[in-house]
Formats: sequence, structure tokens, C-alpha cells
Amino acid sequence: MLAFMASVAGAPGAYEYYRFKTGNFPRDRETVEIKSTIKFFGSTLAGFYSTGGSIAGLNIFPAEKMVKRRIFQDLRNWQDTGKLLVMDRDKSIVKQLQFIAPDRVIAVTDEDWFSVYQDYNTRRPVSGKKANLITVRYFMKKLWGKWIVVDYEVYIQGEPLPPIPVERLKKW
Amino acid sequence: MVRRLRRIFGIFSAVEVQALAAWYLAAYVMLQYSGLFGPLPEGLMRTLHQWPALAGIAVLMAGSIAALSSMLFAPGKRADSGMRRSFSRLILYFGLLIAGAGIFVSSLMRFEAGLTLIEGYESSTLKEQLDASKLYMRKFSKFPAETLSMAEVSPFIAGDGKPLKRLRAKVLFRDIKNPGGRELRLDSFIPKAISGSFYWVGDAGYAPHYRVFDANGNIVDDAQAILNISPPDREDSFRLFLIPHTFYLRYYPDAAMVPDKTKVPEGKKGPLYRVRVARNLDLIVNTYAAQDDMIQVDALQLSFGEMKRWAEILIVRDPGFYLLLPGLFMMAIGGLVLLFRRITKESIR
Repeated sequence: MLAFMASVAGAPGAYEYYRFKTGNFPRDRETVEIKSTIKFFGSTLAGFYSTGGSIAGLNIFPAEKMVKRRIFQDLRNWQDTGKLLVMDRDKSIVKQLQFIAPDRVIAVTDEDWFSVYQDYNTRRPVSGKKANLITVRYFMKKLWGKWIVVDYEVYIQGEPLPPIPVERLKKW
Repeated sequence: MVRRLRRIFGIFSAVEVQALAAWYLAAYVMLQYSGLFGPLPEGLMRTLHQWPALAGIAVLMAGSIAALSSMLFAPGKRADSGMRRSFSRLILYFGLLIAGAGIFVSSLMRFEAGLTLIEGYESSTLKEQLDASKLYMRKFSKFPAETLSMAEVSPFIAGDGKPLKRLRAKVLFRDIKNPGGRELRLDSFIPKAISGSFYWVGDAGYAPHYRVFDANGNIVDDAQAILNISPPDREDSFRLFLIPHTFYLRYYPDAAMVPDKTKVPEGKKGPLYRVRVARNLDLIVNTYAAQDDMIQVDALQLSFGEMKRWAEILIVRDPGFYLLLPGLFMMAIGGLVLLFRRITKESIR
């Protein structure tokens, strides 16, 4: 009993872990939240690209700093070349959700994106529409009660995914 | 005062209290390893360094001190079998005391780190060069002042393409005592002790040499990427700080090892890379490339060259270990003698 109490007192989030391991975890509620986070992530990302890098919504964009950094690095690169990459998501289906811990999840989605290059000033298309059919493996964690994307891997739709990198999970 | 002290000593030396403390400690460790209240612990020593475990060890140590003092200073304990029984108990309690002290010393001074080295490269155990996710330091830990250079990493893949269980690496070790360097053969099974630290191989893999060129053909980046791409068909990725691209890589020591041979371009033989490049969610490259083939990535060009091997050297420096080991040995001897005496006594009855 004492060991039980000491284990609970010594670990932050012990109650959530206990519920997760004993099957009392609100999986359905979390699943809904994760799916809406992925949807919001995609739509906000498309918004960043279509506005050419407007930072409106950056604070509520559900992603970790390095993910945001890479997106804006790309946007600045396009600005420098006088082009604009406009991306639009057509379809996003969450295929698999794997809870690693009560605050860690790996989500696999099939996403259909269409992209077109435009002139940065006139917004006239300078390329044809390109379809980008991808499978994305999102690594997500819950921070301050909200799910955020920590990292993601991009694969070709239909190809088998390689095993989850264990080393990355440790660093996550 | 003396009576009160004796009473406290009596409480701690009671077999019931010590048994309870031992049960508590065992239950605490088991609960940690069950993962019921948090992520699984990274090693027994790290679990024992947590305050609830240290509290249990402190009670066991207090009990040992109380038992030892009553044994050594109480009258009438030096007669015949009583003396022999006391001697084995003496060893048991001394062992417990030393082992407990070892855990306390360890909780103050243990140093654990991982150092990833590519063949031909040298690295010191400076904080910046160690793997942050594996770095574990206590309040009085000191960074070992060694320099290691990786001479050779033995093959980690068998002829049939399956990974080998035993990893081996040859390292040149340099410190104040060995300024000229000393060759160490490390493996993943038995740690090697040198200059108060233990060294062994934690992991190994391939480190392909990559070059990134800009539109004018100037080299933008030229380095080795430390990746987990063995056995063949295993994928890993890397990123460069200055560009938003993610490079996904698989490596086949021979083109014949590619599972779907229809996708391999004609005429490709020898070592082959499968390269996929994503710029955020935009997948822009998906191809097979031989060594030194140029791959167009937006305005940049990328090529993979010579393949080297890397090994992760795990370093543990723990002064508490030198107390813990003899303590456990003494506990085992004392416990076994006590058990043997009890069994023989019962069989005589």
C-alpha cells in the first residue's frame, strides 16, 4: 500500500497513466480531439501557404516549434524566388491511431493534396495543378490539455510503412 | 536517553520492520516496472535513485545499523552456535549497509551517457557531443575527461542480411593517464572498465556521406548522416538546419537486395540508396540512386557517397557501484549461510 502511494506521489500524471493501463482511458473523446487537431493542422498549414506566409493563426497552430520553423522556412524560400506554393487538401482519412501513452499518440492518415505554383505578386498560376497523394505518420503529444504535432513522416500512399522508429520515440 | 535510543534501535532492528522495508522496496520497483503510473524506467539504478526507493533503503540501512550494534555490543552473543549464527548475520547486515551506501553514493554521483562516433572520427566526452536523450547526471557527477576516436566498427549484418546480436567496435581511448592513446576493443555484451568508467557498444549503423550542391554547383553541405538504415529496407530520415526538407533513406548493400526489383532502374548494380524527399507535406522526390548519382531536389542537388559505420559507445561512471557489488556479495554469502544453517538445524530436529 505504501509502495503504491509512493509510486503515485513520485510520478507526475500517475492517475492518467493508471487509467490508461487499466482501460479507463477516455479513448473515444481523445480520438475525436486528435482527428480534429489533424484536420485543423492541415487547414491552417494550407492557410499559411495560400496567404504566402501570413502569421495569423500561428499561435493556435497545433505544432511544435521546429515544425512551424520548417513551414515558414519553406514559405520564405518561395518568397525569395518570387513564387507562391498554394496547397489545398482534398481528403484526409485517419487510418490508424496508436496510443503510446495517455499523452502520446501516433496517427496515420491518407491525405490527398493538390498544389499549384503562383506568381507571388500577381497570383497568376505559373504551373499546372499537381496531385500529391500521401500517407502521413503524425507523432503527437498532449501539451497543456491540447494535442499538438511534434513531428511527421511523409510516405507514398499505398506503400507499407516501415516500423515506428523506437529511437525517435525515446527522444520525443 | 539511552533507554529511548535502545527502544528506537529495537524498533529498527525488528525483523518485521526490515521485512516490511524490503517488501516495500521490492513492491515499489515492481510497480515502476509495471508502467502502471508512468513510462517504463530506464534501468534499475535510475529507479533506485528515486526518493521513495531511497527512503526504503534508508530504513533497511537503519535496521542494519541497529542490528549490528545490538549484535556487537549486546552481551551473551559469543557462545558457540550463537556466535556462528551471529557471524553470518553480521556479514549479511554489513553487506546490506555497504550496498545501501553504494546506492546512496550512486544517487549522488552516477554519470551515464551515449557517444555516437563514426569510423575515423574523434570526440571528447564534452556535454555538447553527448546524446542529450541518454545523458543522466546526478548532483555530484563529473564529466569524464576522455577523448575517444572510432577506429573500426565490425560488421553488424550477417551474410543473410539479418542483424547480428553482438556488436563490436575498436576505439582509441585517450585521457591524462593515457595521453598517447590506448586501443580498446568494445562489444555490446560485456562492459569494459577503464579509468573508473565502464564502456560498451549500445548500437551501430551506417553513416552515409552526403553532399548538397546549390544551383551553381557549390557545396552547401558536406557531412556524414548517422542513420539507422540496417538491415536493408529499414528506413531512417535526416534533416539539414538550413532547408525545410526531410530526406528519407534506405540502403541496400547490393541492388539485388531491393524487395521490389521492378522499381530499380535498369543497369543499377552494387550499393543502392532509396531516397525520398519531402518538403513539409509535399513529396517531391522518390527514387533509387547509386553512389555519387545526382538527385535534383528543388533548386538543390544531392548525392550520396562513401558509406561508413557508426557505433554508439555507452559510458557509465558510478563510484557507488564499487560499494554496491561487494555489499551484494556479502549479503548473498551471509544469507546463504543463514539459510543453510536453518535447513540443517531443521533436518537434525
